Amino acid sequence: MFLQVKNLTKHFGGLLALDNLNLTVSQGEIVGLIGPNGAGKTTFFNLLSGVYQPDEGEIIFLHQRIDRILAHRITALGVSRTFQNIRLFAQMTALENVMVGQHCRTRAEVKEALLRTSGFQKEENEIQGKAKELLDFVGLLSKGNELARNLPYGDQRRLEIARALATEPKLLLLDEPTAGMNPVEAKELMSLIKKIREQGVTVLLIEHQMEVVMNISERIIVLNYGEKIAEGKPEEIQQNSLVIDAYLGTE
Amino acid sequence: MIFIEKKIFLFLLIFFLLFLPPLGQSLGMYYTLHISALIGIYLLLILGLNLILGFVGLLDLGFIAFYACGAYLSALLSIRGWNFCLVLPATIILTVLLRLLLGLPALRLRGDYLAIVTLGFGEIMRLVLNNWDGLTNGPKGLPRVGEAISSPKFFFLTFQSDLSFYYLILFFVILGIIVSRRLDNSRIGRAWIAIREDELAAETCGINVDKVKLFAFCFSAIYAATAGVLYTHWIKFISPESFTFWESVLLVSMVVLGGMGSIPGVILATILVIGVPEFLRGLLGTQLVNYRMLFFGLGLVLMVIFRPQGIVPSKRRELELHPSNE
Repeated sequence: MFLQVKNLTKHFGGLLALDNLNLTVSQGEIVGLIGPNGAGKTTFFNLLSGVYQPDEGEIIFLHQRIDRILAHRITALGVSRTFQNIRLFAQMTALENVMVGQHCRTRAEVKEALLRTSGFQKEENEIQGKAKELLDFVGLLSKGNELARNLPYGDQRRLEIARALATEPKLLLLDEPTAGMNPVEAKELMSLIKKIREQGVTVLLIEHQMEVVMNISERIIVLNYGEKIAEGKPEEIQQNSLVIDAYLGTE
Repeated sequence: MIFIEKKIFLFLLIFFLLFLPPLGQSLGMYYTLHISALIGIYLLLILGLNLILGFVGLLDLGFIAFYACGAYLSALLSIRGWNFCLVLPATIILTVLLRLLLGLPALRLRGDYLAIVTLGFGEIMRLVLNNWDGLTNGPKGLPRVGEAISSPKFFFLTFQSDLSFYYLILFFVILGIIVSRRLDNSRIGRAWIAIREDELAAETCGINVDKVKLFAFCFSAIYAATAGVLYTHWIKFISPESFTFWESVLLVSMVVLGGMGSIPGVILATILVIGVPEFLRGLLGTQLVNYRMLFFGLGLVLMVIFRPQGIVPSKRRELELHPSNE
């Protein structure tokens, strides 16, 4: 199993953010995670990426438990993420942001940096080359030398995705990638996500725009009050009475 | 000023420092040499603080403690007749170890809390130096009567004259600048700046934030220790009053004034803050220079209001953007 989550529970004081969550994701899928505000979606991402530790339960990624290890180690194992409220390195250029993403895949230490060994130069060139490729992939190459904070909102979202891809993830977690985008930009992003999947990356995304999530996901998981209330193909979810109740309330 | 290419700017600064003292001496202003040496020692300190404050963004208010540590250790070793070749590495190693001992618990704290702990450590250091009479001779300072700090000696090379020792200081400054610049444009330097910008995002980019921070924290102590060793051998007398909290504040202010993380910026700020008042002393008389802190404070307030990014704002390196397959 690619990703397996068993009985995952997380409290914040008296608030039960995630309640006994069980789910699985197979390799190569695009899975949508939806639910009303406060349903525990972002908490789930924070647990997956090691930002928080769960109170109970297990997360097994490629036969390895990742629920008790540090975030940077999880990234090294191949789980990468973006953030709901974009978290770029504001004072660094777009290119440098992506270069930082390759930190755990490269190894030049201080000695190499100070002596400027041939190995260091070679690795630096590789890092730059790969960063440019990724910027090109998300369509930002021409803006590579702009500071991240000067980029327009939609570009920042795409830059964050490029940075996440630079860590060479097997599983990519996208937290509301189209938030704040207009319909045209959202459509472009959808094709970008499909392109990412074609490269063999499994994608798990939180999304509020139903048009996007229904169009792109092969499978949708619905959370409400920290519990999974439904799971299935987009068509099934649209008909599911529990989901309709959660979003619109009962009559 | 910002329009000058950074490298040329650095060369100009070094050129300036290289020829200022001989020029001053030929004009009969022997004091120039002393001020230039002091600027050099402060440059090392500032470059070190710039690593931790400018690059990694950790507000260290006790940096002076490690300068003091370097100065006192080298004085103690030098008095016992150790050669400069041994004093320097031994002092650096011991100072870095002390830094490590502080960093291990303190770096768990963030932002203001770290500032308070480092501030406290700086005070502890000063109080220990002031009160451990047996070792440090307390407020009377080192060396004691009858003892002496030897001139630096590298195997055959003795830095007997003040001018040759000044060039030794300048050598370390240039080395410090090269090290800073090379680290800045490397995987490690990018990780440092990423941590300054957003710690959580840096961690999820696969950076071991705790380790990288601790390393930077310890690495900056090499600068402080070297500056301390050079100070001791230059002045040939040290006492706890040279290492007060205000020195730490002055250092932090200089980094802010110059531009956080900007190497040319902090160098320029150091020359302005340390050098200019001393040179003006001769021209304007002592009266006005006594008010230099007033002008410095005013300057700092104006800077923070009108140019918060510093005199020479840190600017990221631009790279060629042609795709690699072309």
